[in-house]
Order: sequence, then C-alpha cells, then structure tokens
Amino acid sequence: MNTPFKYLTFSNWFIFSLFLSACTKEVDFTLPEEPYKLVLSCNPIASESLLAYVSFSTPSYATDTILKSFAPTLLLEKDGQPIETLKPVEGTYKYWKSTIKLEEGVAYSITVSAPNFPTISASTIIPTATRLKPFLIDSNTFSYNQLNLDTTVLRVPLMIKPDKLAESDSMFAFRLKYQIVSSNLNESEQKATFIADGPTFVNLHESPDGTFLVDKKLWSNNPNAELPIDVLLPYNVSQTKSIAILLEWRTVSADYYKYYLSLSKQGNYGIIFSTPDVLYNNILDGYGNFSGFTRTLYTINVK
Amino acid sequence: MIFLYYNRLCTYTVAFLLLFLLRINPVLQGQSNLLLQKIDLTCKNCPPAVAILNIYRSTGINISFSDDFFKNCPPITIEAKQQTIETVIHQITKGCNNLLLTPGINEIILSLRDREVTISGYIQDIDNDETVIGASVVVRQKGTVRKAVSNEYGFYSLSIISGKCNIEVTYPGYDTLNLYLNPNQDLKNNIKITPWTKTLGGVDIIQVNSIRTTWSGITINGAQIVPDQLITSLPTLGGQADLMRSITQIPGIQTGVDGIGGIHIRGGNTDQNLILLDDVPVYNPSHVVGLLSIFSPKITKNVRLWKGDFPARYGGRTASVIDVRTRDGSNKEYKGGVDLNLMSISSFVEGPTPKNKGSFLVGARRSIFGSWLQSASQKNNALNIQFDDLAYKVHDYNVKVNQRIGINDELFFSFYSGKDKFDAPFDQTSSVENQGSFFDNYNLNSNWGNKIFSLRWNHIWGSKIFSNTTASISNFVYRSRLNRKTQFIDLLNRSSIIANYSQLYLTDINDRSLRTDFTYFPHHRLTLTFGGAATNHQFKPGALSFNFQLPGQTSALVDSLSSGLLKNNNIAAMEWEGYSAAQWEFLPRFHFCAGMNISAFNITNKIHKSFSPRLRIYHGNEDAGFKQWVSHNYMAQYLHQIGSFNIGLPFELWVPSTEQVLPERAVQTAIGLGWGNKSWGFTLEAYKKDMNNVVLLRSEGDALITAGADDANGWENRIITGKGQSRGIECMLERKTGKIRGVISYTLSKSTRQFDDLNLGRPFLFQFDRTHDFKINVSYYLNKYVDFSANWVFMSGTPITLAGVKYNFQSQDNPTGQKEVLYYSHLNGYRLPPNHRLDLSLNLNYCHLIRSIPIQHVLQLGAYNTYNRANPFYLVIDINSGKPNRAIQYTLLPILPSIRYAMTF
Repeated sequence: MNTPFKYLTFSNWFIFSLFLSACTKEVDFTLPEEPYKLVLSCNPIASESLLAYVSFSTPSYATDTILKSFAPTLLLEKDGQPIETLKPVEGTYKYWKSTIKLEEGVAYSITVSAPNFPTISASTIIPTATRLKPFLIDSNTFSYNQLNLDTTVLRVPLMIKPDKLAESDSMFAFRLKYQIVSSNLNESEQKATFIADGPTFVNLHESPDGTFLVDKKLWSNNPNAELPIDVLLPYNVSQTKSIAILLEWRTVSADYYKYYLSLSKQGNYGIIFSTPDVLYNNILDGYGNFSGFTRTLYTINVK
Repeated sequence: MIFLYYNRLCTYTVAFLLLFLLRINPVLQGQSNLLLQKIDLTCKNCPPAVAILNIYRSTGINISFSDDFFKNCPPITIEAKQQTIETVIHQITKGCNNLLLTPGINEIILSLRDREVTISGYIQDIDNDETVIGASVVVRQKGTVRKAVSNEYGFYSLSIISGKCNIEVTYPGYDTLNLYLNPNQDLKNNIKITPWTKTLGGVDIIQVNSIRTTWSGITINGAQIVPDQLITSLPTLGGQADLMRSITQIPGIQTGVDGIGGIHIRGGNTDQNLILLDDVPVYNPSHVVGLLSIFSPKITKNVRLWKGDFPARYGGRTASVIDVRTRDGSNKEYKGGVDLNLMSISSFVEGPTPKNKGSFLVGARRSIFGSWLQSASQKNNALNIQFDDLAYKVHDYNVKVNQRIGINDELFFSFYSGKDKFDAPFDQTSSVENQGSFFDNYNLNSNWGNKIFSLRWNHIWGSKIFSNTTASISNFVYRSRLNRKTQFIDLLNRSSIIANYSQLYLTDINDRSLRTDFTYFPHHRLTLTFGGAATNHQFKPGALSFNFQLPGQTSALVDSLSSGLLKNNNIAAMEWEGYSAAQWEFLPRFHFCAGMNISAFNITNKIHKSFSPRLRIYHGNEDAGFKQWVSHNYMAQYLHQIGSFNIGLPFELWVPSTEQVLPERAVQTAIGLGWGNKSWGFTLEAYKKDMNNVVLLRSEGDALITAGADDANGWENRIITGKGQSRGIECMLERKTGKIRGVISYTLSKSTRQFDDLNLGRPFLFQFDRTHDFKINVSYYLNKYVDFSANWVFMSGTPITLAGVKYNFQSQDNPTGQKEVLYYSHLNGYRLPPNHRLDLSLNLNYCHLIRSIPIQHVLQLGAYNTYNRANPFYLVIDINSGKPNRAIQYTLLPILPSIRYAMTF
C-alpha cells in the first residue's frame, strides 16, 4: 500500500540482509522445461463488451519475448452456446473484443485456439451487483496532517457497507481514485491512498493493479460488518478548489476473487525471503484468468 | 525366611548356631513348646531388654536378641500371670521394631523382620556441592537390585530393605561411588561423587574432555541428556561454544543454514519447542537471529531434551522440551573464569554465601563481533545500501543465589537478562533523469530481549516426597524505531524536504507464573509426580505508530509523540495446568511411564481445554546393554509465534489462542531401540507425528503482521490454520572411549503442511523439511594436553518455491500497462542444493598453580566451514539473465577462522 508505513518493513528484515553481504553468486539451477502455452487475461463485465488479452507464456529466465506468429481464434459462449467470435482490436495485436454487451447473472465460457498451441478454455459467471449504502460525509470528521510546509494531507473517513447482500458468499473489490480541481491545475484524476486500523487492513488484499479485494469472510461472518477507511487526499488551502473521491465498487465472481487473492500473495515488496503462494489458474491447458464482475461507480464530493 | 542381624559380634552368637541347627534338622521336637510355656512376670517402667532378661531369670530359657532392637523402645509396664512366653514377649516388644520370635532348643531367638526403609537426599559434586541431575543410585541387597535416579533438582529417594546394603552411585564423568550403609530406619544421606580428574602441569583438574555423557543415552522417561562439557569441545562458529548448535548433533533436530532459523524438531516450528531456563519458559532463546543461543556454557549445568514424548509434567508445546538448568555455584570456594573468542567475551564468578549456607553464581557475556559485522556490511548487500556506523551488540547477564534454610528447605533466586541491540544509520540516493536526486537518510534502532526473574523453593517432605515451587516473571520485548528524512535536490541545487517522520514498532509479552511440582517415591518400583501451574499472560501483539516531524520539532519529540500514539491492545490470558504421572517398574526391567496433563486457557470469553495423555513403555536390560521403548503422546499448545517467515525471528509475534485461533494439537507415536556398552552406543528410533491447527500468518509479501496498518488488531483474521505431518527414522552410533571418539547421526524424514488457503489446498513440504540429515563428530585425544575435533554436516537442501514460467498480467483497467507474473505451481516444490560443511578445532589444555590456586587454560583454534562451501541460503531465478537454468544464490557464512581462550581459576 502506498503509505509511509511500508518503510518499517526495513527494520524487520534488515538484519537478514546484513548476512547476505557480498555473498551472492550465479549458479546453475535446473528447472523443468515448460512448454509455451496460451495466456488469457479477460474479465467479463456486466453491461460492457468483452475485452480479451491473449499472449503466451515464456520460461521464467527469458529476457525478451520472441513473438511467435499466432492468430488465435476466440469463441465466446453463453450458457454453453456459442454467441460470438471475437474480433481483433484495431491497432493492437493482442486484444480481441466482442460486439455484444454482457449481462449480469449469466455464465460465460471462452475458447481460444491458435496454431502450434494447445487450445485453451475457461468459464466464469458475472455476478449480480450488490450496491453500497449511501455515504454520509461530515466535514467535522475530517483531519489534517501537515507533511511539510507546502503540503497537507486531508483525511476523510469513509464507511463502506453493502446495502443488501444478494448472497451470503458474495465477494467484492474496489478501486479508489480522487478528482481534484485546483487553481494551478484544472482537473486531475489520480489513484487515492488510504489508511485504516488493523481489523480493517486484515480484510483487504491489494492486487498489482491497485484493486483491493475485500476478504470474503468479512461479510459472510457478519453481514452487518463495516469497512472504515481514511482516504488521504493532498490538500492545499489556497489552491484546492474541489475534491471528489471516486469509488469503483465491484461485485466479483469466485474466479476473480481467487485469482486476485493469489496475485496479492505474489508481491514481496522487496523481501526476497517472502514465500509467494501458488497462482490460481482457471484456464484449462493454459494460463491466465477469465473472471467476471459487475461494477458501480460512486462519486463522493468532499469539497 | 529368617534373617538375623547382629551389630555386635560378641553378642549372642549362639543364636546363629541354633538357627543353623534348626535349618538342618527342622523336625526337632519340643521347640515350639518353649513359646507356649506359661510364666508370671511383673515389671514397672522397665526397659524391654530388662523385661526379657527377667524372663530368662525366671525360666532359665535363653533368649537371643540385640540391644539395637530396643534402641528407640519406650519403657514398659507389664503384669502377666500364667501367660505364654510368646504372649509376654509380644507385650514387651509391642512398641518396638517389628520382631520375629523363633524357638530353638532351649532357646528363643528374637530377630528383626524384613522391613522397608527409605534412603534419600541429594547427589552432589564433591568439589562444589553442585547437585547432579540424572545420577543413578543402585542398591544391591540380598540378591535384589533397586534403582533410583536423581530428579531435576538432584534429589533421590529409594526404598530398600533395612540393614546392610551396598549403594552404587554412577554418573557419566564421575567416579563410580560405592557406599556401605546399614540403615534400620529412614535415612537422609546426601551423596557426594567425585568428578574424573587428570593431572595437567602437576595439578589435578577435572578431565573435561573425557566427560563424554552418552549422546545415545536415553533415559527411561525419554530424556536425552546433553552433556555441557561436550558443548564446549565442539568446533564452533568464532570459537563460541553454543548449546543450541550442539543440540543439532542429535538426530531428528534440524536447523536452517548456518543455524539461521532456529531449531526444528521432528517437523515442528520453532515456537513448538518449550525452552525452559530453570523452569521458566524462554520466548526468544537466541541472539543474532539464531547464530548464538542465550545460554552461556559456563553457566549451564544440565540440559535435557525430549523430542515429543515428554512427560506429563511438561505442557504448552507440541514439538519438544529443552530443559536447561543453570549451575548453583560452588559453596566451598570462590572460583571464576574468563572466556574470550571472536564472537564474545564472557566471565563468571561463583562462591559460597556468608556462613556457608548457600552459594552464588554471577555471569556476564558481551558480544565483540560488531566490528567484523560492520566490515562485512560495507560491501554491497541485497539492498545496495551503504552502512556507515552499523552497530550490533549482544549481552547476557545471569545471577543465581541459593540459600539453605534448615535441612529440608532451600531457596533459589535466579535472574537472567539478555538483549540484542542493533543501530544502523544509513543513506540511500536515487536520481531522476533531468529532474534531480532524492537523498534518504535513515536511522534504524532495534532492540529485543528477555528478562526472567524466578524464586524457587525446594522442600523435602519426609523422606519420600520432594517439592519444588517456582514463582517467576518472564518478559520479552521487541522495539524498533525508524527515522527517515528524504530530501529532493533539483538540478539547480534547490533542496526541499519530501518526508521527515519517525516510526515506532513495539511488541511484548509478559508472564507471571506460579507452579509447584511434587515427586513422591512410595515404592522402589514406583515414582509419582504431580503438580500444577497458573500463568497470567499479557500480550501486546505489536503496534506501530508514526509521526511527522514538523518545523521546529526535534526527532526526540517526534519519538515521544510516536510512543503516545501506540495502539497496543493488551490481551490478557490465564493458563492453568495440572498433571499427574507415574513411573512404574511393573516387571523387572519393564517400566511403564504414564501420565495426564490437563490444561485450560482462558482468554476473554473463551476457555480452551486440553487433556493430553502421555504413555511410554520402556524395557532395559542393563546387563546385556539392550533397551527398547515405545511411546504415544498427545500435546496441546496455546501460544503461537507468527510471522511471514515462521523461523522464530524476534519481531514475529507471540499471540495466544483465541475464540477464532484454536490451540495447536499434536499426537506422536515413537518406537525405538538401543544398545550400548562402555565403549559403544547405538540408538534407532522411528516416529510418526500428526499436527492439527498449525498456524501460519497469511503472507501477502509483508513480514510485518500489521501489514501496513497502525496496529496489529485483527491479526486473528490474518492467521490460517492447517495440518502438519512428520515421519522419520533417526539413528545414532557413538564411540565413547579410546583416543578416537565420536558420534555419527542420521535422520531420514519427511515433514509436510496442508492449509486450505495455501497451495490450492494441496499438501506441501515443510519449510525446514530435510530428507537426509547426516552428521559426524569425531574427536582425537592425542594426549592430555592436546585434542582435535572435526564436525561434518550434510543436509538436504531447503525446500523453496520457484517458478519455471512467467507471463504478462494484463489489467482490465489499464490496457497499456502490463505486469510480469511468475507462475508458481507448487509451494516449496523445489529444493536448494544440499548443505554441507566441515568444522575443525584444535584444543590445548594446560594448568598450573599460582599461590596454590589452580589456573586452567584452554586455547581453541579452529575453522568454521573449512572448505568454504557456499551453502545456499536462498535462491532466486535470474529472470534477467536470458540464459536457461541460471539462478542467483545467496550464501551466509564462508570459511571463518576461530580462536578461543578460556581461563578458569
């Protein structure tokens, strides 16, 4: 998480690093030869066209990808019936897109075939959306931390809670941005950071693209649980004209949850001894992820 | 059967002859009529012997007896008329020892019936009265052999038949002592045994190198006694003798590369070892993340180890018990010593307390390796950080005072304090093209350590019951502070402060405990132990605070503000424990050790309970040297150390079982056999162990439990629980005598873990699983001044998670950005290359007198990792090499010379 707290990690594994002083060398280490396979990254999203990214895997030591010529065919199926063959996105060589819009609460499958590669396939469902309870913003609860003479951080408490859980095992994720308008900058939209207490943080898992998964146990154990966070916003009294928090709320499928949860366990923040977990893979005979979700955007005006 | 006892040769010898006649001609007539003869006898307040003489005077019948029979008998008053002699004698001897009447030819013989008396006391070293733990006391008497072993406080108690007996006391490293006693009643007898000595420089000194307590010597209750003398003679890192490193010689005990990562016993985590220092649990038993243990060899008296099949007395852990006892100090003369090596300098002093009613022992140790560590850190390390004033300090202080209060009571006060202190100011610079440079200035201060206070009271209740009561306070604290100041200097040399803040991380655990242990020796074939304990735990499972330094504030102020912001949530827990166990020799040479440990753990609104039965059957034929055993044990654990690495690092938090985090449980079955004589020893043991509710911190790349939060609250949700399994065969061959002595040990084992939330729910290898673990330790005793030691270790490589495949992760939200993802298919699916190394040492001993005070010198020269094997500690696939099968290997310790000089006086 992009907070200064992360730096404390130093103190914890620092001592370890000392013993590594100058004691590294290149060695031979044989890993089993892995065949090249197709990789699919694709998230079916309700009310949107399907955008699929197709590539292929390489050995872990490879420095550059020698692009094999491949012209994959992507076939989208709905409830077991083919509905569309995806078209390449113009100007790209790895993206394919559908023309139809996808629906929530529906199961989709995809098959990708290409010469010289095993055909891959995967299935997922787009879950029915769960909305959030309206946000109540009270400026009296805002606080300020002065970072230096020029910059102040505005802390805005935000309480996240689903309105009505469609199913007890519903799974969620969110992304957080802010939109600022200042006197020297017309409008800017950037990723927002936040802090929280321990019980909140243990229920959040950050994936490499900045999405936060909410642990599925939070609301399955207690449907009335809340997720309190403090959004941190840069603030300049004289220059900031308006700020809004943009919260993208996702109701995600089990495939999405498992994949992004395992992704969150891959990053080691520079700690070389941190053991990653295995990567979830729901692509038959290939790699990647095919997982559906629905999203709802909330705009919370702070000033 | 009739036994006759005589204290005076001149007294009533005729009785023996009559008895002889009785045996060779049992049909002699008229003998029993003597007892039926009726007499009159009147005697007021007369001693029993006089009353009996009066019978002789009135009847003329000889009555044989010893004056000793009536030593403690009260005077009697008797008025008998026409009563049989038998009745009259019974009335006279009513308040005396249990006597047997035997009629002879015109003679009546009075003799003592067989009866049990108890001999008890302490086994002590004759030189300093130090109690000896585990010494064997054997009484051979009238064709029977009775045996006792001194308990953890050196106390023994043995029921024998009254009268003459031969007592043999043995303990490795000491002369066998033969005592002849003739107890007719319970006898308290402290037995002093003499350590082996040799003459060096004309002075008799304790023969350290010959004291080879058998590695293969497993006791009836399953304890492996680790000889502290051997600890000091093993080749070691920097010349620093170390208990924990020596323990790893025992099969079934594994450790990380170069000792990093603590010790793992039969597939258990480090936190599953109950490490006791004089009955008080120690939470952090090592310094420098495992390179050194906190136990100074000069302070240690006895170390016993149980690899899972521990007696009912011990509870609260599921893997092992390492019971360390410190010396009490000499109560005869003042002694001291200094030990200097490349790692540390230590000293101790001991002696009697005033009025010779007790003794004291004070020891101190400080590290001196900081300078070479600083030198090593100057080079490039994994962080590419330049350390300028790196400082690492370690210290240990031990104080122990004991005082006798009367014959049956003794008080002990112990104090231990140990700390690691680490200061590392460092700078880091990074530049941004065409913009300027960032200058980071860090100041990191970390310290952690244990403090232990204990007060023990030993009491002897009669001759058969011994008790030890311990009140203790134990504390472990980890504190880390980081100040960071970041400046940005642009290309026009304008400076601006980007960040200026201080962070503080604190975690600690406090225990207050009261426990009492009783040992009851009701019969020479039966020993009962029972007792209980109550412990109040106070946990602070980690808290982090930070504070920005504003203009005008000093860093000290920021520190204090940070302290005020700490959000440690105290967790209080109460642990209750009760146990009872019996060691019963139900058939000659067959011992049945059974017990039950019952415990309860009360935390907030939840009470966890555990019933842990322990069973061990042992058969030992000492004459033939064979022994066999089988054991089946259940264990439970309420405290857990959690961290991403799970290797017992100090910042990994100790947390309790809660409503959500259930106690860990383990069940182990082991079967073993052993053979030994004076020269050789051999053991072979197979075990099977299953663990439930094994805890692990759900890792998301962050070593810290707070994972970026400002406190550790909610840690329970980051814990996952699973199962563990371990199977193995352990064997050891030992040569105990001769010029060349040594131990070969080998373990074949497999340990796995299974968590629903890890590795897609599939089992995976335990992080410290070693398929093969082979160790050889050989010593060659050239003469009494010089000996050599060599130690070779071979272990299978550490399991590691590696990825053979990578691909690009493409986010739906950022089509132009991609991230390379390594595809890990199996957790711990690969192994690092094997570890092996050879350590050598040359030990020189000399002694001389200064003003009649013997001064003993020991000089040890050695080398660690003599052939400079680059043992892999960690390995990363070089994803930028472009070459197949290339990896970057991290290694810890290269060849390191060692030198040690020790002097005792």
